[in-house]
Amino acid sequence: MSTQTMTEKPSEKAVTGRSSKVSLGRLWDTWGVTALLVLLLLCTPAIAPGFLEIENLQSVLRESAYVGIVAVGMTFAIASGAFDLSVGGQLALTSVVTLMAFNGGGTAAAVAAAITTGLLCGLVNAGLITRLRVPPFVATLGSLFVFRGIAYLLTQDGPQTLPYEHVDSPFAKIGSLNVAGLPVPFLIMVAVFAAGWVLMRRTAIGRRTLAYGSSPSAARFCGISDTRIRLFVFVLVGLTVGIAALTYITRVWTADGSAQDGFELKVIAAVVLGGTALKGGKGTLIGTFSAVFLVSVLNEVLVSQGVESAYQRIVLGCVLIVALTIDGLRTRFASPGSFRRALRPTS
Amino acid sequence: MTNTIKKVPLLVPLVLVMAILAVSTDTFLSTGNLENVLVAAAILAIPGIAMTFCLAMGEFDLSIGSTVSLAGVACCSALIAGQPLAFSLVVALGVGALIGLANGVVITKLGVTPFIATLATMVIVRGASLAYTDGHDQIVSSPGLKYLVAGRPLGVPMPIVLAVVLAALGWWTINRTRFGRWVCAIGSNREAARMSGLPVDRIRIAVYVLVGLSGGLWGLLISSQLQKGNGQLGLGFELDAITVVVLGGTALLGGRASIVGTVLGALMIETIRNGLNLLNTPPAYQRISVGLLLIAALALLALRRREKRGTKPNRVPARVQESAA
Amino acid sequence: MRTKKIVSVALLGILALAGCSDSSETATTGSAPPADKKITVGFSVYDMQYEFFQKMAKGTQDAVAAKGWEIKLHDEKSDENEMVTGASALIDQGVDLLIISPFKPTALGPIIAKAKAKNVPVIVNDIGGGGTPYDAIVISDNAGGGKLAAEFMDKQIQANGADSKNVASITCEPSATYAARRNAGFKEEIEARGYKVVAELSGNSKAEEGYKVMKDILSANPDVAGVFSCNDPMGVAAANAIKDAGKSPVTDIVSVGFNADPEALTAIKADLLAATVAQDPAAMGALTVTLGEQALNKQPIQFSNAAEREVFNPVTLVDKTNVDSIG
Repeated sequence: MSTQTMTEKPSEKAVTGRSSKVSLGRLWDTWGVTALLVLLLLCTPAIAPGFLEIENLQSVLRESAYVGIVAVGMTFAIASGAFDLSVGGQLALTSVVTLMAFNGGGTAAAVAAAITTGLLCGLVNAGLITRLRVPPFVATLGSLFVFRGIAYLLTQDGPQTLPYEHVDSPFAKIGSLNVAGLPVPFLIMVAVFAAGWVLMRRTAIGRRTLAYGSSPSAARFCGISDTRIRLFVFVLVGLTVGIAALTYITRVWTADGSAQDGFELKVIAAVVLGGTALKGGKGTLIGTFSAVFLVSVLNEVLVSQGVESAYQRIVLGCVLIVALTIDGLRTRFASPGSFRRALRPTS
Repeated sequence: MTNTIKKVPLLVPLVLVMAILAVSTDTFLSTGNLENVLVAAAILAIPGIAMTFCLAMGEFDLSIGSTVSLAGVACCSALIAGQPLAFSLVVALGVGALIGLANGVVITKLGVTPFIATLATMVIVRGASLAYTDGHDQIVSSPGLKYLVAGRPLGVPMPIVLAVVLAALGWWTINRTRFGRWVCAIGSNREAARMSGLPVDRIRIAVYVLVGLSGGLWGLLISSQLQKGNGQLGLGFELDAITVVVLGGTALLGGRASIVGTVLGALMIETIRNGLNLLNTPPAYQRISVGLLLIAALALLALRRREKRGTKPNRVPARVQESAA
Repeated sequence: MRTKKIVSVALLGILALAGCSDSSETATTGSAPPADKKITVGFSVYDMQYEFFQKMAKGTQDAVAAKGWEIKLHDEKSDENEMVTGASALIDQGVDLLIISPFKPTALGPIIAKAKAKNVPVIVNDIGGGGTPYDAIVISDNAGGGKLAAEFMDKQIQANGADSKNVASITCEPSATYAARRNAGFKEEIEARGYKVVAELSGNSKAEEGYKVMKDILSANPDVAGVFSCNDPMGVAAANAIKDAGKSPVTDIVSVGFNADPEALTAIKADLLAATVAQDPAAMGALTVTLGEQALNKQPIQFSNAAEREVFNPVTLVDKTNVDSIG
């Protein structure tokens, strides 16, 4: 987080998150998690020889796609200074509706339903936040219950499923097909990340989102509209959930109200681990991308070593703390702006 | 009277819900049922009171559900190992306090944001509880532990006694002591609080220890009800505790705390749950109603605040917003 | 605890090696598996945190070791994504036979599709088959267990001399459609015996919620004469709630659980629970290995219900009279 932004209005330099000054800390911000991931990838074959099997690598890429896709939307949300706690509910509801649409009208209907439902969920959140003025945290906490509840209602007579006879349908293939050796869900995820990167770095709305996150009141004075930012961010999260639901549901073939309980924490953890500041104003999609795979590769290594799930949890929790500690200590002691930051007017 | 309603906005909907239930069921107002609701609400209010401090500080603790599990396991295994009851209770509370201390230290000294720090401890503590029990129940049959939920000093169920005492203590601390003012000061502007010489780190650690302790007590109450401890108890409890506080009107951004609101929030949640069960409603409706309630309560609060404040001094005129777009 | 587990796994490994020489003979009698290749069985487990599945895994491991085969375990950790990923990984790693106790039966589709492509037989253990073309499913007779519970409850209520004909039923989470057969079987049988199920509420499979739900049931229907719970954590929790309300979970409100978890057996001995329905997860595990061998050798399987390719593992009612002979 650049220190100039704190006292001045956001400059172009700060808003794009780039600076001519190259410091170790700044490098760590963007590339720290990526470095950790590379390190882990270098060590992994020695620990788990089966890891390098092509099918295993494909599996790792495929299984994390849905987390990664939603993490793109969440990176924008957190960079704008807000959480979306409802993504788990959105994913459950969207998946249920998508399967209903598929069973009623085939692949095209399913894809349309996924995107529409995701967008609608995002609109509901945005509406609560901008029209009813409910703080994002509470609005999305509430809508988490509501979305999950609706998904439960729709599946009262049993979970929605993709019937086995559709095993060769184009819809089921979304989750299982490889193109040039790369799983389709992963390719979709890469496309979403690329689009997200362009959106964040090369468009006005992306820069405004960062500026708004770094100081909402300063952004307001520069004429950035709260409503527009909120609408953009939460609808974007909804859209990513819609896309993610497509890759998720074509992999597991089933959904009900309890699908992916705790998904929101998984996604937020990946984004924050990637280096996006919870305070807002800074977003790194590269970091998010690496963090998603850092967690899944680590998980893979632990599983391959026969570590029991209880101990897996402990290790993953510790990794989270250590990674964030490095970041925390750096900003605490190494940044020269800590004094100036203290003078920052809070909005 | 109007003043009370303004201060505690949850009062009106709560009375309304109770009135509806009194009319639509013939059992809601029975003494047995009212006591049942009050006991459940008391158990939920206890962690809520501690969490109120945390939210007033602008932070929250996601690890409390795992603390419930580990504290229960600690108490039950101590009892199974033949330790006296008092020791077992202290161990459970100690486990809670230690988890809180760990949270506080990681957050203040290592600079990890509370969300991630407590998310990590949530995962770690749950893992520890599962690893320690190896997936087995720690079953006890302890009349002493049972007293925590079934005891009736002066005819009042023990959880209600505990909640009333803790709520009074909490109210007094928030509204009448330096510590309470400090917590709110940190919540409204942490850096300003630091600059004016408050021991910010120590206060934050103290609040996390408080939340940890309440998690320990919550775990004891649950284990007292079920006469066991295991790694699966308390899943998702963190959301319950936070929901109660938010429903009670303690601002999420910190700076304001309402213990009375938290207690009413707990009462509201448990009343609705009880009512839907009395009416034999499927569980899906329970989730939806809690969610809608949360949104409605906060929307009302936000709208009223906006009316009261009129135009915020630093709000940009609409004209400027238009031109920016 | 951990060391004990490592030692036992090591022992299993040694056993497997020792058994190798014997198994080459049996293997040659079968047609499909080549004699020189040791059969590897993949077992994807619902969640190793639960005692029920620990026992099931133990039963499967023992049966596999007895045949001189190898086993690869995978823990689904109660997550459908992990279930699909891990079970598919087992197939990728070249297992010859996949046994799976699925967290979400309806998510079996992609796994079975993959297994079919690689010619790996799939035996499902418990929970449900999700309407997929698995080779066989071993399942506890859930509905039958519910009926046993109803029979017992009727007898016990009459023995208690209660005149109320009202009973309650606590269900698992709404998505557990197969566990719901227990409550359905119970309801059918108990209503046939002239009772009325006045409350049917979900405790989401959790003990904490089972306790609260029972308290609410007691408020709404103080005269219930019996309560059946879909699993033992809720069953014992409900019994605790009844006891806390000053009534006996055996002689006032007949409480019956399901699973015969250790906590239920302890509770039955202490007169805290009237009865539970025992499944035998270890035997179910062993049965899957037998069926798997038949599938590998292309031998016909004797189904209890051929339409669904179901093989029932019997359930038994456990009450005070026979609790000492169980587990």
